[in-house]
Amino acid sequence: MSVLAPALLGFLGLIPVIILIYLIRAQRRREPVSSVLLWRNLVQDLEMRTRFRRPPITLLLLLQLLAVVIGTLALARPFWETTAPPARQLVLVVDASASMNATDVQPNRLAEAKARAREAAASAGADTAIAVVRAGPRATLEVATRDSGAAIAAIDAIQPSDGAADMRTAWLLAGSVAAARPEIPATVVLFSDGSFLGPLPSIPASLAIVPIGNGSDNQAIVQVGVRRPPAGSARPDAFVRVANYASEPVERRVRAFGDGLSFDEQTVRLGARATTDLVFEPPVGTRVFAVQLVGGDVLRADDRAEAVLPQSGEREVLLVSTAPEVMRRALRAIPQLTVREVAPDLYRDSGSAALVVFDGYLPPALPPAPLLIVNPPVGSWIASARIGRPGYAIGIDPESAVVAGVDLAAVEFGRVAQLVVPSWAAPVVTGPDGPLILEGERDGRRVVVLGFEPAASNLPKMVAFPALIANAVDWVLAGPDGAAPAGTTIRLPGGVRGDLVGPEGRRVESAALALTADTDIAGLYQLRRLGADPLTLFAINVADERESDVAPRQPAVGQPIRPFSLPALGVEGEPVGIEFWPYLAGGLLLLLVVEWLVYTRRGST
Amino acid sequence: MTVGPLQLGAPWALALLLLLVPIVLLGRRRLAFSSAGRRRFVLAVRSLVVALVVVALADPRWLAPGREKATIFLIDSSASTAGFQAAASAWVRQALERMGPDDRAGVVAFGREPVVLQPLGRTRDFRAAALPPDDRTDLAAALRLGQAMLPAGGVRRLVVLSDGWENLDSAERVMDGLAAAGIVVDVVKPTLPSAGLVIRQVDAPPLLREGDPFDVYVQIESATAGDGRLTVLLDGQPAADQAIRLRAGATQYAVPLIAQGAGFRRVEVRVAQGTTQALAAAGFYAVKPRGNVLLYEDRPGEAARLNAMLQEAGLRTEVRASPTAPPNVAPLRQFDAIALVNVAATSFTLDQQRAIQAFVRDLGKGLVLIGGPNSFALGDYGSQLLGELLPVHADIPPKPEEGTFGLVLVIDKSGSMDLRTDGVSKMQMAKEAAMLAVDMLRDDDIIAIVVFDSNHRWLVQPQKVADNRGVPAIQARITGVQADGGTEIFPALERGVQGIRDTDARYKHVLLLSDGQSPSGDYDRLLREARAANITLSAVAVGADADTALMSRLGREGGGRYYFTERVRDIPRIVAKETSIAIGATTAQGRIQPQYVAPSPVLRSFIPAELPTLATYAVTTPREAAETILVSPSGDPLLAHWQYGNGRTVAWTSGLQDDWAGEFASWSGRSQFWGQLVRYAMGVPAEPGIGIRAETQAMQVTLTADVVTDDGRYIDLADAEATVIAPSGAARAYPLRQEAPGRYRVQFSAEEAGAHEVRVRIARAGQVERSEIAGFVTVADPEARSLAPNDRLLNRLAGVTGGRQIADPAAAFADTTRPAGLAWLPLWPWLLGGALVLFVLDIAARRLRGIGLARFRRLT
Repeated sequence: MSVLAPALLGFLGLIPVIILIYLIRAQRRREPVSSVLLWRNLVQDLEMRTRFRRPPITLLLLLQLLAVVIGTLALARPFWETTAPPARQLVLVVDASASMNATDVQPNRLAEAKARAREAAASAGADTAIAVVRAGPRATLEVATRDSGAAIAAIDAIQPSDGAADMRTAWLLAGSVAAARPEIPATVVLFSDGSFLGPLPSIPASLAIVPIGNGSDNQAIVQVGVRRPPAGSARPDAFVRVANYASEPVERRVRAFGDGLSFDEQTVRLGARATTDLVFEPPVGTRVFAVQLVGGDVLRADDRAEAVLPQSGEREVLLVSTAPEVMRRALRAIPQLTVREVAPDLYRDSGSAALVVFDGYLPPALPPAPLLIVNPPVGSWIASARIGRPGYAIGIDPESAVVAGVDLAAVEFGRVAQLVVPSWAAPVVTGPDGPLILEGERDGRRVVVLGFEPAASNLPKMVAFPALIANAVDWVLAGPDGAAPAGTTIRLPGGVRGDLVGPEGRRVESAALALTADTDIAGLYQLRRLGADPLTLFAINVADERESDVAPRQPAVGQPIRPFSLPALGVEGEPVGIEFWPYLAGGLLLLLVVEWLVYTRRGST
Repeated sequence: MTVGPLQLGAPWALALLLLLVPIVLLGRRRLAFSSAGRRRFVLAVRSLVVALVVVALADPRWLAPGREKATIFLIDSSASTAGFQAAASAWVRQALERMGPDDRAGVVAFGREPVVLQPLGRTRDFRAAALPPDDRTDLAAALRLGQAMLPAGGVRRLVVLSDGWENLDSAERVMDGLAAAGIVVDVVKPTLPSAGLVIRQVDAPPLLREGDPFDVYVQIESATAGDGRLTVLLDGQPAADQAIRLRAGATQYAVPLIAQGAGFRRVEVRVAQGTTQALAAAGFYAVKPRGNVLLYEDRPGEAARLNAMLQEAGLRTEVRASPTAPPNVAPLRQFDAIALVNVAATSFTLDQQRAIQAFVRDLGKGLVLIGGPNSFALGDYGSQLLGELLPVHADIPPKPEEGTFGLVLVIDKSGSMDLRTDGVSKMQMAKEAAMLAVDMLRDDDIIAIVVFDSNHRWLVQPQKVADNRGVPAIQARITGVQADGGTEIFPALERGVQGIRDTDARYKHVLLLSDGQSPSGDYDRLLREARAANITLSAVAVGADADTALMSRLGREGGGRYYFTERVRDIPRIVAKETSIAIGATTAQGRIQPQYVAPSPVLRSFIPAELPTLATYAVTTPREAAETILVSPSGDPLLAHWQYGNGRTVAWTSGLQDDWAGEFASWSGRSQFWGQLVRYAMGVPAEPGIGIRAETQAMQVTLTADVVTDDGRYIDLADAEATVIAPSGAARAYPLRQEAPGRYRVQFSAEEAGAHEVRVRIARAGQVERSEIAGFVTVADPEARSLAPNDRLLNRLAGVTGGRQIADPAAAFADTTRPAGLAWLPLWPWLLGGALVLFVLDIAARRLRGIGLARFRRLT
């Protein structure tokens, strides 16, 4: 046996305190009397009275000391460790992807998979190390333990998702767990319907697969897209693809909604394992487009899909400039922006702006919003000097989204600054005298720096200029698209503050600085702010044909697979390697009760 | 059971709180004879002790930042970091030696797949397994595995030792997830190699027309400076071979070429530096048929020179008379540009002008306006729709002009001019117009007025405005004119021409105003005489009965303007405008040396200072949003262009005639100049209504096509197909699937490396609605991307997650302020410890009866 917190054995120091309490004689009350003649027999006692006395060895004292010992031992976290390592390893990989929510197996495939995994964990003997891996949109190691009870608890805690499983990472993770003790034979058991993309890489373990699911009767909305036509029409267009994965033709009704109100319904006849494309015209001003398959099938999550269409002027841009004409023109050409201008001497903070453009000016402290810095002043942290000749592009990063599709070949950059490149940024356009355009990200905000004065360049007169500004704005804002597949990490729009709430009112935790959110569950995600109406930011859909095709498949794995079956892999024995403080704490409670009973019955002190 | 940040592992244990009831009851009985305060105190403490133990048994946990620190090192073992792997492994080993007692670490190597070299633990002794360099890099998979290996709580970190060049998946997709999970990523970059040569990128315009000059841009990275050789092959044939000077780092070179032969062209670039050969890199461009230019002229033969020069420059041309312009844009689709050679805006009807506007704005084609006596302000562009398309303002500039101006007004006073319309008669308006015109002249200018019906007479003989009691006298005579009689234009016109001819005015102009028919007369001779005497002639036809054919001819051939109006009240305005045009500084003459203002592809390969001089140009003012490329010594635009809608317009304010072009007319570079000018106006030969984007990552290709109708609506539910032709010539068809309104996409793996041709076709009901040619390049060795690390990706990876760039292994585990992930911290030890302490207090309270606290202290 060993202890995990030996320092806490110091609580045994309470024992002498208890003994000291017993040593102390309670001082009697002084009462003046006329004579002690009748108390002569007690004189000897009185004369021999001392402050301390030998502690009486009573049952109560023993119970109290025992309680302290038991309690201290519990605090020290003792655990029973066998000298023998586990004889085998069992890694249980549970597929928690969208298709595992299919109800062809009651109550659903994931519940069945968990039940089977639970059986495997329960039947594993004391000599088996058990690990549980959840294969969802992100693979996680739920537990690695010698305690089958802990493994079962971890299996029970596995949550479903509406996204595709990152089975490759889960597989590699299982392999890494097995490889941690290469001398111990390992078995990796996969509980899945095979809906993931393979083949899976080889891992140093024996493989077994428990196939889950047996049906294929599912129809799904596998694609939804909403856009406004470039012709400037206010009425958007919506595209929907419906798929039938059943082996028989089927007829389903498809109902379309605009901001929650149904505006159209079409009946489609789908061939066996075929798709049909539909188009809808949502009403003018629609922000949230949704499409629903009326009726039911084995997987309900993919029967509905939604997309959010941001409205014009929805995002505010704060332009801080002494000569805003050039930047104003470029920013106003971007449909989703509303431009608010302020002179540098009146600038205080970014307020509710989604993006701040500093043109020829930089404040002492940068606001938390995404930034576009244009023509930074010399002497600032980003511009050390002014280069005395025009610049031109000699190096353009072909993979930068900021300059994608922008022809800078004929641009003459005027009043170029000598940029100081921060560690979190990198040049995307370089001139003969140094970088001309930077992009980077720090503290959750994206920043693009144009190290020249546009008005002193020929760039504003070229079509490259609005394209460059639109690219830069698009990149720094980097808000979510109208719809994304479940499991995508969504970057929230810059400058947004509030609580992100997912489907069914679940609050989504997001990192404070990066303002990103994980989205495992399909539905609409809203931003709730104090004193403002909820704003629907984006929609998460299943949108994965592989997941909607719920017919079980044999996964492709680059090594032999054997069927998995019970009975137990190991031998029965005493639990090993587990802490037993709860038992000691239970014993302490019992002692406290017994001690109290003794105290109240005997009436002793 | 979880409630917010509190979790209970065994909530059933809380049922044991029921023990408090008998404990309190028994205690009250036992302490019945104690003081109430002491009784309450003892019972409270004992109850608290029991409660704490019971709650501890429920195994409560609190969600709080964890204290444990875990780090996973990710070592890039791909081919691009082959020289860095040994150093990276040594770096990790040195870092692990400095691991603290609270740290745990693991090591993963990654190329195509991540491999766990050392699982998460406290092992400090790292022995790197020798891994062969992989031909692919999947940084994203390594980051995901690293994230999965890290525990849920505590300070969690990934350290990436890589050059950041990935060719499978994208770390961008994982970055935000790492930041959301609170995982910090530090980066360790390899040092630059001491030798090496890489062609970073080959770039050519994707679409060209036959004969277009263009540049192939080659970006080369070299570890050292030195001389080198750059070779460009087109479809395997040498096209350029030049010595270059390489510098350490990245350098871009432009290789000028001419697009020849319609079709898809594969570009191969090779670079050599000493004995080092750079890998050949591929590019492409597609050549469409030669540009087709429509030339409009007001007078036959005016466009002949330009026609010859453009053909010499390799363009197809067609010359038409301006009145034949179609009223809608459809017949113009076959052309890539329209050139107006000294054409007045008034030569076109409004519908014709709208068609030209749509041609440029909507179809993305080009318009070139070339100066002459009928162009710009003289062509009334300032008040016509076509003027909006110009990159200059064609309004009459308010400039003083040297020399006097002579104006003759020839005014019809026939009986029909007395007809009242809208409350006024044409004669009244004509007189008002005449008075306005006189008002606009200077004192030194010469004015003459001829009035006519069947006969004619001088109302005002040619005189200086200020003479003979000046303007009031002239206006008084005008006021006295009465309408009466027939119409004989020719004698009056002849009188006016002869009258002004004999004056010493520098600029002579005759303005005819009539509402009648008078075809008889030798107008040919009269026009010849006028031209010979540098007299310009304009005509204003009023009403439907006017001889518009004659008037139009007079204005056109007379070097002036023609106006027609049925609105009587327009007469003063038209005459005033005509007068202002006539007296304005609409042209400038002399030996005009073009001054260079801004770069332009029009001047490609020309030295601006060596451009020949011009003789005359139309005076205009720059349009602020347009690019002015060449100006006169006095700052007036000579060459300007701008983007108009989807297309471009180019203005050349000088002309093609000898008295306008000057030395330009005989310049040896004129054909090349006009070819480049018109080609620039044509823009990119992209098919309207379709945009194709090809993205490649190693051999994976994603093709996306966006298509719209002519009126800007998305093309949906179409059959979309892409035929891909590999470098070997093997062709394969891929259907594109629609995924959004107007958007079609396909992903596939290319089987060959090099430049691939793509032909995209969008059809509905068997009818091809859109088609376009494009291309993409797949790379044989995607690991050979650059000598320098991918700073853009690595810096962002660190920046997004709050990480750092570190170079010293000693800094790997240096304690810095890092965010810690949340973990469930067990609370039972605190509860149990508190219960033990309170238990002792409970004992003391029961035993030390009658002792106050102060006395208790004294005793102990």
